[in-house]
Amino acid sequence: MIRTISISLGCLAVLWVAAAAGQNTARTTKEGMLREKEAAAASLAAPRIAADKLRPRIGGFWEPEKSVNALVTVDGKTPPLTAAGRQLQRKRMAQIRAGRSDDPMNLCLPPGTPRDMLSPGPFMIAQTPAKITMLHQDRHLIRHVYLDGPLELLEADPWWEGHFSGYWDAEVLVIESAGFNGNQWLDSTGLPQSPNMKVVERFRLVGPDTLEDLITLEDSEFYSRPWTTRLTFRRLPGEGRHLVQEECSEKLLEFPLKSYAPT
Amino acid sequence: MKRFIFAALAVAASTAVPVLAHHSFAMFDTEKEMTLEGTIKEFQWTNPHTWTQVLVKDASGKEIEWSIEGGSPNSLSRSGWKRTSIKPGDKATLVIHPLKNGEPGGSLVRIMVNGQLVGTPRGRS
Amino acid sequence: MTSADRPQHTHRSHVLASVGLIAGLTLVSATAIAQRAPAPPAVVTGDAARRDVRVAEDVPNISGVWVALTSNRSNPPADGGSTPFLPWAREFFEKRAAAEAAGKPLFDPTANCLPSGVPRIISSPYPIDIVQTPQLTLIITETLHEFRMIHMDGKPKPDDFEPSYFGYSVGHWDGDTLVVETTGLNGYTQVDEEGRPKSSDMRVVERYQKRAPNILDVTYTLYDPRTYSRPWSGHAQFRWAPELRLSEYICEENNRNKPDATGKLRLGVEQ
Repeated sequence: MIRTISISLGCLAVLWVAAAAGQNTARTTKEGMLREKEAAAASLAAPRIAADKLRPRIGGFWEPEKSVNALVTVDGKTPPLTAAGRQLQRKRMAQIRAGRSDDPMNLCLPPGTPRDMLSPGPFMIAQTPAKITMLHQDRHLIRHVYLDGPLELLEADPWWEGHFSGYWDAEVLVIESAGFNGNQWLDSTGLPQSPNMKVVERFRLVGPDTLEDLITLEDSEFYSRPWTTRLTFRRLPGEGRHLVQEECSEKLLEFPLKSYAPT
Repeated sequence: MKRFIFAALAVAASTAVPVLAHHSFAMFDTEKEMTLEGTIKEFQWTNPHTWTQVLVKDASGKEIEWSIEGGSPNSLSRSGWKRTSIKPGDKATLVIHPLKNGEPGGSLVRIMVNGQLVGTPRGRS
Repeated sequence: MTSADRPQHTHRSHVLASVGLIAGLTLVSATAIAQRAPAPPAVVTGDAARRDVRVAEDVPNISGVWVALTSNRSNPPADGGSTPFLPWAREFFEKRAAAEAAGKPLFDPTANCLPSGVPRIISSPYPIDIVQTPQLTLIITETLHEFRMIHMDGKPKPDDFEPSYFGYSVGHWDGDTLVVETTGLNGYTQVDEEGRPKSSDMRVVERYQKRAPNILDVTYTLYDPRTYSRPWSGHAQFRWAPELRLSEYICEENNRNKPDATGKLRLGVEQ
């Protein structure tokens, strides 16, 4: 079934209130956004590559400052689950305790958004004027974030990882996601995500080598109000590092792969 | 940015050879084409392949479920297919390359649903 | 507050309130990006050091989404000659061909949601997305959401590199041609879908060149003296597709083509 999704302006309002709080908001106008879009397209079409020198340097390699198993709100509280949300999470927790977790990640399915930001191990942000690309070592998860936000989904297939769109709000990279298939867990405690969830992430440098991701989740099916969680990452030295090719599906094989290498 | 199912992208993908990337098609008899008429039980719009489960009456009138493999959503959506192109209960005519081993399965060549040809099978145009 | 009862005009009115203050600066900013001019100081806020992006801007731009024009399951030498198999390699190839002809193809990692490796990935029918940063050229594939990292820093493969499907790639620009040398391949995959084998000693040299603004030519040469009696080359071509974006491709979602325990691929028909 095609789900018709439109991001409500209301969702953007949350982001706006957050953006406006004490900041010099340089959000682009509609006209400005169009110009930025053209500029982005031009940078892709240019005969020589262009660096993003106008924006904070979030490009490079990062790793989580600490591993996070259970998401909490920015003030350290349990997320505001609705009765339906609480019931679903309890069911998942009971299955985990019974040793038959149905966490999609056990089947090498993707963690989705924003759970990919909980991935252990390093990830790379490739920063160009037109696009931010996030590449995780864990399960080679990739996010293609074109800087042509805000996100407007009219008729899109629901995806495991959702659909993304981004823009710079002064010093903050805003990534909006929606259009999920609703099969995801938000964390390893089974916090639920419905197909109608909207995710707004605000990435900013809180130090030259510390990246913050403030994540606002809105999903009236499972949460009584929008809530925000915070993740931080530390910069890894060097911009030419190698991410190991990790293939989750190797562990699903019923026989040793090595015997199929001819020499 | 607006995201549609990009029917318009058919043009972009038209020169791409479609879906033979995931596995070999040697288990299908590509020399042979076979026509099935039946009722759709399920359409799986999934990677790495779409699957059409169709109920077909055999010579004795018994309903047999056939599993027909199609292209990936990625290639099919670039040639006009949608998640809703095939629905349970639809009357369908399928042209397939059957399995060599005689089991009720095959690889989709084309499908007509309620009298209409769906997109271009396997992303071909 | 749910989205239903939130005032719908908030976003718009805030934008309007901001227009007078920022519109001018924004337009300056957008124009600056388009012309790749230095950042106007009026727009740059915060610590300028954080914008220390070191890019050789004289490097040809091959970034963007490219559609494969030459995908093929059989990739013999492009010069039309025969494949210079060593005896074991010919036997391997013929065994696979016979199994295919019998309708029981032998194990292929791609049927188990594993990468097809280098060089076979160059023949994938799905689009690729090339992203260039100062130190790396990334070749991102739609199929299996994989990425190849081409290291542009001139350093060789680390001694402790663990062999992988895509190996370790080092690249440099030879004029307008990106030359990529790949070693450290794990040998679990073949050169093409038809089954030309390779050893873990294979060295692959690819040359990427924009022929026309919209065409990317790739020639690759395979050096594998354990498998072939001489080096041989293949060719692929891509067309720039700025209107296209890579879609999600989650192979594990519904893979009904898994090989059985003997390693033979069998179509999973559920009854």
